[in-house]
Amino acid sequence: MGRKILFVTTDQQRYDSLGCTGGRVARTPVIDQLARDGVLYHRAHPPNVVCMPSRATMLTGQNVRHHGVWMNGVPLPADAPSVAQVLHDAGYATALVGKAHFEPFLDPFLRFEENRLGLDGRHGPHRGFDHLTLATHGGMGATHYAQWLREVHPGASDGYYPVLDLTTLEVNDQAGGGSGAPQVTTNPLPRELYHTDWVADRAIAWLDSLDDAADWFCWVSFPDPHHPWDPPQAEMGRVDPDDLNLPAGFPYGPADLDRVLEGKPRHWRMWWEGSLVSNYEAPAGWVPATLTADQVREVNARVHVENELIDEAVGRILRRVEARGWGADTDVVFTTDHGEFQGDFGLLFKGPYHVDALMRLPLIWRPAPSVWSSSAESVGGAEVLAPVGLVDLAPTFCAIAGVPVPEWMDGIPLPRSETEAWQQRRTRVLTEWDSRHPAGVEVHLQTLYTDGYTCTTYEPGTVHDGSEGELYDHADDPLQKVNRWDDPDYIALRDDLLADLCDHLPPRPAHQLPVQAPV
Amino acid sequence: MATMRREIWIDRPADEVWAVVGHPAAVTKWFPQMTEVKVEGDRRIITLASGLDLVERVSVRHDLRRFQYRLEGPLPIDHHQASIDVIPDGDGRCLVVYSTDVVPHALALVLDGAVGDALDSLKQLMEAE
Repeated sequence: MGRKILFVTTDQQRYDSLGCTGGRVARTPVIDQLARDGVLYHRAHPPNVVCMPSRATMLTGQNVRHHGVWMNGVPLPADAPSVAQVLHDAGYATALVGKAHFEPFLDPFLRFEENRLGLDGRHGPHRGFDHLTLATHGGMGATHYAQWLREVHPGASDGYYPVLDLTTLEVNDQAGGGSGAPQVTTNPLPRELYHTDWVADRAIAWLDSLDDAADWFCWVSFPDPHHPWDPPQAEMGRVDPDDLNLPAGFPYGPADLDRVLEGKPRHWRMWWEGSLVSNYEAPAGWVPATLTADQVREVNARVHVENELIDEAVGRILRRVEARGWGADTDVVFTTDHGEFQGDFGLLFKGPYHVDALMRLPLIWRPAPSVWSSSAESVGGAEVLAPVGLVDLAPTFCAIAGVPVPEWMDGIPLPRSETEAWQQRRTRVLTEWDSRHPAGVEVHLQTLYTDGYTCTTYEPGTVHDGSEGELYDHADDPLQKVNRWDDPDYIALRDDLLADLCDHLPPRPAHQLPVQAPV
Repeated sequence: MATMRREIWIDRPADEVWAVVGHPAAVTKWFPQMTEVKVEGDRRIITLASGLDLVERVSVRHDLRRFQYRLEGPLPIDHHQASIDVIPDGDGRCLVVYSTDVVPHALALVLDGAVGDALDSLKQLMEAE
């Protein structure tokens, strides 16, 4: 028997949302314990700050320019390589339970297999997974969860907030809750029917279907805490919005926000004031300038509740793994696909904004105790400050399984200590954004994080001429409020960072894959 | 308004391709994921594999080898107009041009992808005969 792999992902979760990363509201004891027993990475970045490109990287171990999924709505090619296939071929039972999103959701013609699986009631195989049970935000769409909810509990899905406005197909800007925040509603759905617990139940059911001797790779992909923010209302007593402090990144007032936006490339202010919709991932009809402190508190309270539910769901899965006798042989990796503003800079959601709110991710690897507790290299409680990327996950899974890392993967296995990180010469991580909004707006930016600096360069687009950039010095500006791009004291550093970024960006593919849906 | 155009060369005479494209009830032969079609006058109802019924108004110009249709629902549509032109290129080859104008923008990407699949399917169908 080999090591088992439990890969847990969330969607749109900030680095600072967990107890082990400094969060002081949501109680996340299960995930915090994984960090105490394993390795906590403090600088894990995604290749892209929206779902599909980032998830394609997790599956393939490739950079965005290699797998080609350059924005949401671009399906990962059906013949793209997959770490699940590698593990399957090595004798692993493989499953994905929860949100996949390697292919577009908005698919009335049922062109994509993920959606056909749900509607047909099939569970695979697909992309190297023997078994897929799929879910996403709420009860809309073609996922197994949506079908199940409609069939077993008719009407229950009405409690969810409709992510899309079906009269326009835009992300919904309808206000709800007590504060009138977008993508918020009061959801009467009982917890046991909510997608977080449903995903955990299905993951446990799949594990229970395996022989004791099986080696397995189970990707449990929770749709939360991505908007809409509609956790079961019965759970909302956990966090009172009125008890919450505003985030450190929330502007002190109009003058503070004006000063911050003045220093940034102009699409920041244009989105905030409502004169530019650059991407599909936030409601087109919502103007960030209308965001109030109470709305931020309400959204964040809901996010904290959702994160607690995830933590408890992970705990249930881990208890089942222990009960099956696999606990000592199971590696657990926990992370997310990208972050969320949650009030930083007076914003919600995400977009072409490469700051920590969206780029800095929680990442924990708890190696199998049977391997590491008896090893001189025991890693319990290790912390890695060096930059790592989600591109390193698939190679890590290969290393855990004892199979060679395929040449087509771009990443390398995660380090288990800061020393190993430096031995691997980990000094930088890159994040890219390319988008072409259906209305014609294009934005292109590339970012390097290294040695406490975030450096972003822009290519010409609809509102950029290619001369713009951002440079943040995290040592004296952890909230990235002061753009040093044009600061004379930083010009030499900026040019060095830009040269480093250009040296390490892979070439663009010869052919850009077509966008086939907005999301 | 989003405007899209897709085209494909097919190594068959234009009249043969037009016999398929210009026949409103034949769409299920070449447009993937369309499982049933009903034609009543200029009204066409297409059932997708997803169970969705598309309601369309169609217009056929045999003299121009031009098929036009307007999607009326149930997808959220403020405006839709599509044209399929079959243009001869000698005796054994033709060009099929599929043009679509649509509002809202978000729907354009969805329709465009489906049209791309449909043209590939049409070429495969015709050239296999």
